[in-house]
Amino acid sequence: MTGIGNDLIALKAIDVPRSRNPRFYAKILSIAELDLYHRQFAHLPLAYFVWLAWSLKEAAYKCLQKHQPDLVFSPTKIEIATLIPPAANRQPTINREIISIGFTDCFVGIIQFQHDVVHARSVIYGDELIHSVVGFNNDFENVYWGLKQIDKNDPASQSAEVRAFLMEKLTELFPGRQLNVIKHASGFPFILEQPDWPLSLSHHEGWVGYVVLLPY
Amino acid sequence: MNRTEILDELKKILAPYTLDKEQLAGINENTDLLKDLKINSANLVDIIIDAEEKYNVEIDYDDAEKMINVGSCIDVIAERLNK
Repeated sequence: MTGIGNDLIALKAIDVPRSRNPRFYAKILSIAELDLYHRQFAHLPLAYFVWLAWSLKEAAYKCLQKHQPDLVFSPTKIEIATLIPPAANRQPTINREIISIGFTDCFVGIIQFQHDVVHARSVIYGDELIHSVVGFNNDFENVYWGLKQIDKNDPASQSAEVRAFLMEKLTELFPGRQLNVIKHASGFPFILEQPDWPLSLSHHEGWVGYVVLLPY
Repeated sequence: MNRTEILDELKKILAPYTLDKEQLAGINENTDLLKDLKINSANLVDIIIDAEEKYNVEIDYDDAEKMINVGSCIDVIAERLNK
């Protein structure tokens, strides 16, 4: 099975006091995940861990939803089975744009929903952004991705900008090929001419991001 | 509270999370929070917490996961108010 999902959290947009409120985070974290935070991730602000978990679960949902169109997003039912922090101590930074392939210096995780197991990579860019990507395979070598800050944050602009951003990359990789990103009836985007290339789009506040899994 | 009254209050809860004020003004029970109101999924828990505070009820996630459109939000809130 192939598939991919991504999620972005603009950290400047989150409500930190609310995120640290047990009534709030209990709707996102399971008891086991809260325990995981206290055991392994207490060096992170709790609010950041809550949103890291959210982004992992949302990315997992987007990956799984392509195969289960009726799936309803239920954060506490999508479980972080394991999460290993980045080996490097340095904090990645981001300016207005980053385009890359694969992941290094990232959180590495396994996410479980009922009988499905998916693999995750996440990066926290200082106080700016959390970016999570989830796929069926634990191989992200051919995952092409980009993150970009835009000036508008209305949904229509975000949607247009992220598609244009992805198309720039696809045009660079496949010059002269006619490729169109359209929306499936179930709501997820796909490449009309290459529906076998899984892709996912995300936006939050002034940030947009794409991931696309290419065969080579 | 009847469903119309809950809908009117729900509009106020949803207002900070959607830029599409025209869609918000015209919401009905079939309006989808994400697809129609373009609410970012990252705000769904905020909406649940705001509804809990507004109606002084507790909405657990088994209920919350049903809150994908306005009608199902009203169902959950009405059920909680009647408990």
